[in-house]
Amino acid sequence: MKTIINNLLSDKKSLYNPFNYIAGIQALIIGLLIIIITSSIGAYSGIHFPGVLDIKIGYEGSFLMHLAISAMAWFSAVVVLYIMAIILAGPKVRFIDIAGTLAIARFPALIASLTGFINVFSKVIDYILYKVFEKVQGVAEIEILKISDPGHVATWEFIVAALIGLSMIIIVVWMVAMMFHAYRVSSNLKGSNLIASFIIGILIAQIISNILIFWIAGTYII
Amino acid sequence: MKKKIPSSCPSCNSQLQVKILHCNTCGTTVDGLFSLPSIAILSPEDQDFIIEFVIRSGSLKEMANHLKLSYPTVRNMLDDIINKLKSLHNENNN
Repeated sequence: MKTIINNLLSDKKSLYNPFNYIAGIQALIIGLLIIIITSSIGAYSGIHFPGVLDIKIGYEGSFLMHLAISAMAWFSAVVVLYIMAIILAGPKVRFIDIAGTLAIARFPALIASLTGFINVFSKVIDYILYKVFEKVQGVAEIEILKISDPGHVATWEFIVAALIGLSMIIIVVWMVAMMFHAYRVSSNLKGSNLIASFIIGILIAQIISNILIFWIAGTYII
Repeated sequence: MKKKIPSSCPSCNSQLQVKILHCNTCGTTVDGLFSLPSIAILSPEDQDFIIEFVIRSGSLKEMANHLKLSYPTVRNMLDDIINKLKSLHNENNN
């Protein structure tokens, strides 16, 4: 384990591709820990991940609900990309590698879950929503949607919110890059086969995870 | 210094063949045209990988430990070497 950590720290590419050094059961254990920690933080910060590529703010579910949602998002990608890899690369692809590396690829979500503690972002979002609904729908609609007036928003708050929004985009790109390398290393696919199957796989997984999470959030209150 | 057998022509990049073999003990020289074995045409890194892999009884797990790389990375290295050998084999047969 010490060697793996040393290798990861000495190779800058590990930031988006640690999978040359870690995969299999070790990756799965660390990845599941990342998902659990992300869900714990998300339960307090209000950030959740209701899809393979989704980061959303302002969800007040319990820790178990956050965990179920994050696990669904991860597992949808695992199942779809594993099937893709088996079809294109053959039976040598190991499920444990796909599952483990894709779990570690959720690491950027852990960073994203911390941004929910910065209240400025949700305040600015509420302010924008309030102003848009006030103009388009009128006060009655705002009352139905329970959007409260956040009051005055200072310029610096807009700037901070814009920076957080930008960092969210970077985090999603980072997560996609990690998932891509997780899939590439686990399947050893190359060229157009790799790129096309990854894009199609992620889009299918995104749709499946959205449906599953919508269903679980509507059916169970954990 | 460990010398590497050149496998491709430095001028036109075509695959080289062995023309002269020499015995250091008795001084006999054999002149002819001999193809290099497929493994000798691979890069020194690939040749080292094959040697280490055979020494470790073909265990990818042990290779991963030895190279301090993940299992799928080592398996991918082996798959790439297999593909190179297959294409060299096909080239030689055609």
